[in-house]
Amino acid sequence: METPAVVQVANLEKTYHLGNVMVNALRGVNLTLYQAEFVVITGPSGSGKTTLLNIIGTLDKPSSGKVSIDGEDITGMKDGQLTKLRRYKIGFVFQFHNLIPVLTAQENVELPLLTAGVKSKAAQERASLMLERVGLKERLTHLPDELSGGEQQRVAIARALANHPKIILADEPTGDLDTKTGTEVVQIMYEAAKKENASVLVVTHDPVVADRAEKLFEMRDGMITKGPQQRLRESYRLRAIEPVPPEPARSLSQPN
Amino acid sequence: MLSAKIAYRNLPKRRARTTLTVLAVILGVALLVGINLATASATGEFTSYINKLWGRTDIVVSYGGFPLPVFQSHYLSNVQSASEVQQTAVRLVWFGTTDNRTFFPLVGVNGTDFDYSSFNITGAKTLSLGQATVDDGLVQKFGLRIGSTLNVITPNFITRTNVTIPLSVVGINHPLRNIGASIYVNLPQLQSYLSFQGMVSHIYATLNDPTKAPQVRDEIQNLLGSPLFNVSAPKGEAVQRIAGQTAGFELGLNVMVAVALVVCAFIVFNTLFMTVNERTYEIGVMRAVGTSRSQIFKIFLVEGMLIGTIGTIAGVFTGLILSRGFTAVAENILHIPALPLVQLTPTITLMGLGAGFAAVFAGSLYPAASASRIDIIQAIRPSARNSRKRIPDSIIALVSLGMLTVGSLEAARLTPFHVSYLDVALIPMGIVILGAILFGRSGRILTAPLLPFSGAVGYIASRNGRRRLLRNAISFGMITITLSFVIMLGGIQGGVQTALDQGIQEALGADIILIANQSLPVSFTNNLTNLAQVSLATPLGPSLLPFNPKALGPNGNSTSVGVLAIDPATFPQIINYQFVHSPPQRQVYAELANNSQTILLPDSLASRLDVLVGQIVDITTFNGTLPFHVAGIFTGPVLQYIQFGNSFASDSIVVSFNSQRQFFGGSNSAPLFLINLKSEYKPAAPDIARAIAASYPKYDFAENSLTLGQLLSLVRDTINRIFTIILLVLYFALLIATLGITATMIMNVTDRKREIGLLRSQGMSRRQIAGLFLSEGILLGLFGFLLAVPGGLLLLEGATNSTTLAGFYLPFVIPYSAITQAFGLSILAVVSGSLYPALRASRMEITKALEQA
Repeated sequence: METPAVVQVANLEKTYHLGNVMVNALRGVNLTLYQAEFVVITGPSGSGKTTLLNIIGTLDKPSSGKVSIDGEDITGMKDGQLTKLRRYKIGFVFQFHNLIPVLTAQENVELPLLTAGVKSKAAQERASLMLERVGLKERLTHLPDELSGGEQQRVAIARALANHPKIILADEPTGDLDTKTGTEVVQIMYEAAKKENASVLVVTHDPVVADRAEKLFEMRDGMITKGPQQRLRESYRLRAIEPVPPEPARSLSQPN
Repeated sequence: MLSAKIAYRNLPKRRARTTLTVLAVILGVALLVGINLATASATGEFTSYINKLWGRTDIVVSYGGFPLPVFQSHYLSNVQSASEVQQTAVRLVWFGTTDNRTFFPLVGVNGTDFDYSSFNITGAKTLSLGQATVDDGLVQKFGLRIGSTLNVITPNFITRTNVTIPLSVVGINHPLRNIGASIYVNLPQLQSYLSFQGMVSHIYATLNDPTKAPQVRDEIQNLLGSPLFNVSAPKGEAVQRIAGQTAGFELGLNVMVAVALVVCAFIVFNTLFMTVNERTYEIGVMRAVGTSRSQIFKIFLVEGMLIGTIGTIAGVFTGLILSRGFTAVAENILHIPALPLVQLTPTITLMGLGAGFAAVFAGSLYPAASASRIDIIQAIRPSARNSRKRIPDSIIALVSLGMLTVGSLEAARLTPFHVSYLDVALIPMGIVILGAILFGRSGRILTAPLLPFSGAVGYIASRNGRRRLLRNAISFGMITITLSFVIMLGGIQGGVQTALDQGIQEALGADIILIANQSLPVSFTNNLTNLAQVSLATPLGPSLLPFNPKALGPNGNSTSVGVLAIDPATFPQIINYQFVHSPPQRQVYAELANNSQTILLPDSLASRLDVLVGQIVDITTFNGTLPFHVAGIFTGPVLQYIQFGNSFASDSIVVSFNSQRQFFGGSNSAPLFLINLKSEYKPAAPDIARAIAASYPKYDFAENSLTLGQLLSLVRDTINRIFTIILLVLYFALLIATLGITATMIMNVTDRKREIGLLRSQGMSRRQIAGLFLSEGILLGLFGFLLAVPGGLLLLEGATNSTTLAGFYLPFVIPYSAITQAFGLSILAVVSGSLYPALRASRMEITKALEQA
């Protein structure tokens, strides 16, 4: 059976104005992301990577083209629908300042769950489990400024996966970390996503992250210029085929 | 729950500004609660005083028949048949003397009198023939005691003779009511002596529900069937009258409290808006992980309301403490007798909680809404924030000009509509918004006053002022709003003083007002004019009878009136009444002199009687009800504050001495004399008054007389005291604004840590850094003051027009001293508000400052 597509991007264009200058950030991008794939997009600054990621993540709106997430066309959706889509189907990991500074690691992971209406006890259990998976079992009650940069990113990964999303979007997740920590964070993100059967789309400059991609794309001047380059990572694949608990189909109108 | 958790944990992270904001809310709410508790305490004390004065009496019926203000006692049944009437009593109130000098009420009471039986009497209460109960005041004056005898002389109007009533004192009344110098005798005996068998002058009644007194009053007036009966509800009317007289004062206080609460809302707005700005990225992250706009809105609203809850609840209790301070101030400044200890009442507590939450809610609404509307991309990518859409300055300027124009037209009463307080709301807001636009565009010109101190400091200060426009606009806005009201209040104070000065000079504008302890023959005027220093003197003869004639207007309106006799030849040479819709002054007084059935009316009385100049008013006189021709109607805002005998000047008709003698029981005598001095002696008025008093010691002139200067300074002193209390509230509002400036400046210091580090690394001294922040503060203060001047003057224009429309002409007087005071206050507020943040900035370590991202 063919793996279902989680994200489908067709002829995506994004134009915006910087003062009097019109900038074409995306120029006809096409991209498909399948379930449980680990995809990396690289490219120089200003190539449109983050813009693409933000549009897929429903943070930004395209000027034209079509984006579907889990089979639903998001381009015509209203703000409330997009919020629910982010809540149930998308997880984000940013470069830095990912966490709410006044909430502990566990509370940060609980945040999307509570926002989605999950009962407090269930949210606590799920947050503990996710933090355990990213190796932070002992740091549940620590505030963000009591955690290292790598730990903070791991909390962000746990939070991104807390609500069983279909896709994790990560914007330079290792940008603020040293190489060793960055490698660990990527590995953890990969493993945790596979366990949740979630796809991962990372945009990065970091060759370490690019080196770990199952599919690698390269962007320049708002277009995908290379890819997809298929890569097999044996060690990762071995982990990836571990049995994953079946996830019940969810609709946006039915919060879990 | 989540919102509360995030709010609860965020507040302590911004400790200084949170504390200052909470403190501002506490002060704002405390001010409202404190003032209203103190006012309620004073009103309660006044009501209890009124209740003491009138005992249980709710309704009083008297008769305007003149010269016999008595009626058959069978009218009692009409009163008893009215709804709600519980108990009744009849009395015959007459007057008597023992020495032809001191007159006192002589009251006939019977044994069933509910009011008399509640008196605090030592000795016997029951009065048989020849027995009397005497008020303590007369007991002291005449040296009486129980068992003493005295002969009271009283006129019998039926036989037109004086009768002497021999009495023995059986009881001494120690009035609970603080006043009273009457003698109480057996009712049938008094009726017999006066040939008034079966007749009384008053009916007193208590009601089952005293709050219905005004309705029962009108009902009884109808039941009695004659306009000559005067039915009053003295307790209710007294409370109503004092409420009317203090309404302006209370309104003034509450408008100033509202200003303080608006300033609180501004501070909450500023604090939360800064927080939203600082936490933009965090908001972006929250939105990215699925937090909805409404949830974000709730998080920030809860944060505001948390500040509101702490501040409001603490404010209510602080208000209780403050109210005790206010009552102490009122006791000392207004010379109010000791007020009872203030207690928190549910109504005022609810008012405080409501106002506090409303102010905080108003201040939180926009920041919370703006947080919820933040664009996610702009939130998480600071580089994208520059492209944020802003409302163009031109539109904001247009809106503010619109507000200012409508507000100014409304203040000048040039709008086709009138909405109360529209000008008070629109003018300050419009001027602050327009000021913000000007502040943002004015460039270095703003810093001109600072350049002499340091060019560099001034340069940076002006740039930063404009960069953080919203928070700075809020800061100078608080100053502008508060000082606008200081200037307006100064103008009103000046206007009221000018108006009262003019009014007093119109009504009593003599150099010396001589008041004797008894009526003197009008010819005593000659003794005064014979003095070398006196240029003119005129007698003033108020009616000293304990009852008043009744006047009936041409359209059926009727009222009891006082009678004031003047000498039409000399009076207008000293007192310059302003006549309206009347013939020339000379003609008016000529008619008064030539025709005894001619009267002059103050405009308030004329409008109550619905009568115009040239029309006829029927008045009950010693010779029956007679028509009197209205020769002139004059104005006088202060007449309502001047009392002659039983009546206020505003309720008195003015007649000639001839007329008073012919119709109103006058005897060509007067207790008051108005004296004008020759111009060279005017400065020596107090000495001359003393010399006259010394020449006639038996008339006790020294005790009561006063010069125009003394009277004016008495009035000015009272006005100044009232305005001092209102200004005190504004100073509180300014204190709150100062807290807001401190909070804003602390935010500026925190925001600009790196800039401070850079400036220090470039060689700027600690003193210069402190000077930088102080200069920024002073800049805000100066700008706020500059806006407050037109704002205050426009508000003053509105205030003078609204009082003029209310029938009290208040001149527009530019309050130069209030403007100077406002300038000083603005500098004081900003310097004290900026001092701590400036020192904090100057003490910052360079390396730590440079660490800021």
